[in-house]
Amino acid sequence: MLEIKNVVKTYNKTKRANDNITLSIEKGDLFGFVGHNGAGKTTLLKAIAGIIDFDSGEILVDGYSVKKDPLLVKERIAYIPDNPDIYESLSGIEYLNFIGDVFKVPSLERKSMIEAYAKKFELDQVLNHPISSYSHGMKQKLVIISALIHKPKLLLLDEPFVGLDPKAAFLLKEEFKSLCEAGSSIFFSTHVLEVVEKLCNKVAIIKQGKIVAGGYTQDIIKDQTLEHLFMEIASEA
Amino acid sequence: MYLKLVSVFFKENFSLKRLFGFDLKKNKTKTILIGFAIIYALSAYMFGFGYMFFDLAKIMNEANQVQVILSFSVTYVIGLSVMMTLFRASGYLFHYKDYDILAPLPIPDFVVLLGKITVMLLMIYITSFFFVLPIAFAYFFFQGVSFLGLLYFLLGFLLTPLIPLVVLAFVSLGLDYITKKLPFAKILNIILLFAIFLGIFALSFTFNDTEVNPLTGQIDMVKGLSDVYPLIGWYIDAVHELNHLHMLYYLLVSLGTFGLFILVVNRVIRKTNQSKNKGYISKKTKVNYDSKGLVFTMVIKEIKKYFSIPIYAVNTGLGPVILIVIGVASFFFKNDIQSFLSQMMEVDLPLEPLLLILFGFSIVMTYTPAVSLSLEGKNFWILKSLPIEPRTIMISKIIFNLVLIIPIGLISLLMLGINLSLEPLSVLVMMFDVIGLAILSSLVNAYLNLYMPKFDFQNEVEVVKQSIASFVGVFGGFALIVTFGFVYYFLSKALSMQATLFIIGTIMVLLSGLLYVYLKPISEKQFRSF
Repeated sequence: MLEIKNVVKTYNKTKRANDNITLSIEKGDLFGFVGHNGAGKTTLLKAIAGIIDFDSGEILVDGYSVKKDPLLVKERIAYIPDNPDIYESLSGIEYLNFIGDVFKVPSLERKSMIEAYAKKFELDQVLNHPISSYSHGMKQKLVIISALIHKPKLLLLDEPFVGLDPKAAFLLKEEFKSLCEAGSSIFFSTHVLEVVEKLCNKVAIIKQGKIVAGGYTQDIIKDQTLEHLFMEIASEA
Repeated sequence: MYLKLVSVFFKENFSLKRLFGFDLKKNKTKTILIGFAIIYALSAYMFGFGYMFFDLAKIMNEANQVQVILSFSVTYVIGLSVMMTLFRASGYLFHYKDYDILAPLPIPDFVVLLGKITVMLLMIYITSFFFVLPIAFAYFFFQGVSFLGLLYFLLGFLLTPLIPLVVLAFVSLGLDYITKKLPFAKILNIILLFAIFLGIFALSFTFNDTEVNPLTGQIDMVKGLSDVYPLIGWYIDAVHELNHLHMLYYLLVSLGTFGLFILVVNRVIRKTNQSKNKGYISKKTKVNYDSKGLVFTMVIKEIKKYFSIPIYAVNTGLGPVILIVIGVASFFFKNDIQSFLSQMMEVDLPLEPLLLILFGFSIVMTYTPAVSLSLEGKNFWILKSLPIEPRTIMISKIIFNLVLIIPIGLISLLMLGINLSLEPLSVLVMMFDVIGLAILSSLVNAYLNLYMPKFDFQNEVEVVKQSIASFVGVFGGFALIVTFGFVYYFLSKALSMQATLFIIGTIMVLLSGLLYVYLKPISEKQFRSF
């Protein structure tokens, strides 16, 4: 579903945020992406989503190149950033309808999806309210719903659990599982290592722009915890 | 601590990177080009504005009334203080975005307030300086320079914005308080701001039939303001006659009012910043799930954004408002319109091209495509991650601008055509020109925003009024009109007026077609670089 081959992204011509990254995510994979602050996680997620350009290498989503066929890639993905900066001049439902219109989700299907997800994430009573009146967590939930209503084949999430209440975090994890069972793939970055350990079948650790460990979660952590492994890698020069 | 705060706030607002939207050191060619454009614009402005005042000062000096020039200086500073406080006070004093960062710090509230007000004042001083400098030059050239006169002039310059700032800060807070609980609070706010500006606009165009210098028409207005605001009189007496007592009055009243304001407003500001400014929340329970076409939904998004940012609507919506006003005015002042336009533009032309000049200025002042991409700001990730072609994004922004100006322009033109008994063919050709210029200037502005975006801002005013794209957009638009003015001048010597206007419209449409063809590759290239 997602092929990342030798991707290099440099900032200011000197700092390599992504240094020759190669990763592969299969259909149905729930892939955790961990690393310290500034390691290059957000840069890679943004490069996959077509938000930033990368210097060299190749990113393929469902066989389509991010560089050559960006629209075909974007039709297949949903991206959720670490900070839910969304149009404050719109109401919740206006934003969801906007996303629905972009992805051409038919009205009936849209209605049933929005109703179900809004009820699940407890936004059903505030859909007509302006987004400017939402809390950080509510905005985060709205972005999550907007990502789910068009049934993406690949879901990219940057720190998705930040700002969510425990119930919403639980619901999101359940949603992750059912999406992967239905054939979608999920690639998300997080600092919550326990979540990766319990939830993800695959994991990659990034350090100073390079993938230093990657593969099936069980093969990577073996008989220790992900936290121990991460600390070990972090302390290596 | 106060100086440290001022320095931080100042950097936040005035760093060159923030003002220009890019790092000057890393974009040398762009910096040089923009530098030249700014120098050219400033020189042209200083020469034009300076010449008018020099000329006026000469006339007034001959009549032994050179001190009248000083009242212009005060009036302009007051006008700018009024406008800037009205737009800035809410976001700068009563609901500032860094309150959550500053409030927990061990800094007394009034020091933070002083820091905020100081930066607001600095903005007023910097902007006013460009108006006051040519006036000061004209005044002291004819009056002669004395140390005390210059000192009082400078002191007066620094004191003048204080009282308007105090009054307008409360007006701004009042407007916010009255309108925020209403369903269409922002639109109401925009209407009130337009009402205020149209009032100022109407006053500033009080023309005198017999005079050549347009400033002479403003003398009565300036004198009228002196009558209702005695501080102007004290200021003139202090600078012109070196009246120390009146300088003392001016100093005490200005500083006293300002000091009282600091004391009173300190508590108010604490309260307003603590209260969440949520505004009106709809009680509607029925949710609409209707689907719409992509471009339609994008244009609706633009409309919603437009009316949610009063400063955006007021600054870019003046053109359509002027066109409505002149269209309606044609029902009542049929005979006065041509002489009014001739005097205002100081050119001797038939009514049709005169009207088109006015329409042209109104169209180029509607410059939303020059700023709307920048205004995506922190939300830009949404458009970049969605399957929408960059060209479609830009076209939706252009269509929004056309929706804003074309229907109103055509209706206004129709009203003028009927009321001023213009030939139907002339009205049709003029409509063609209006549509051509609206499309051309919208496309040019879209290109400007693609090449000079400014996504990093704290307040929309930085994009709408202070970005390079907005500056070049408006002044480039004026240059476009002047260029077509020359085309008219030469072609009309050989062709009829209607044929000339038709050719001008055709040139605009052809240029627009060329820009439209290149919009796809250029927007894709630029989007990749953002």
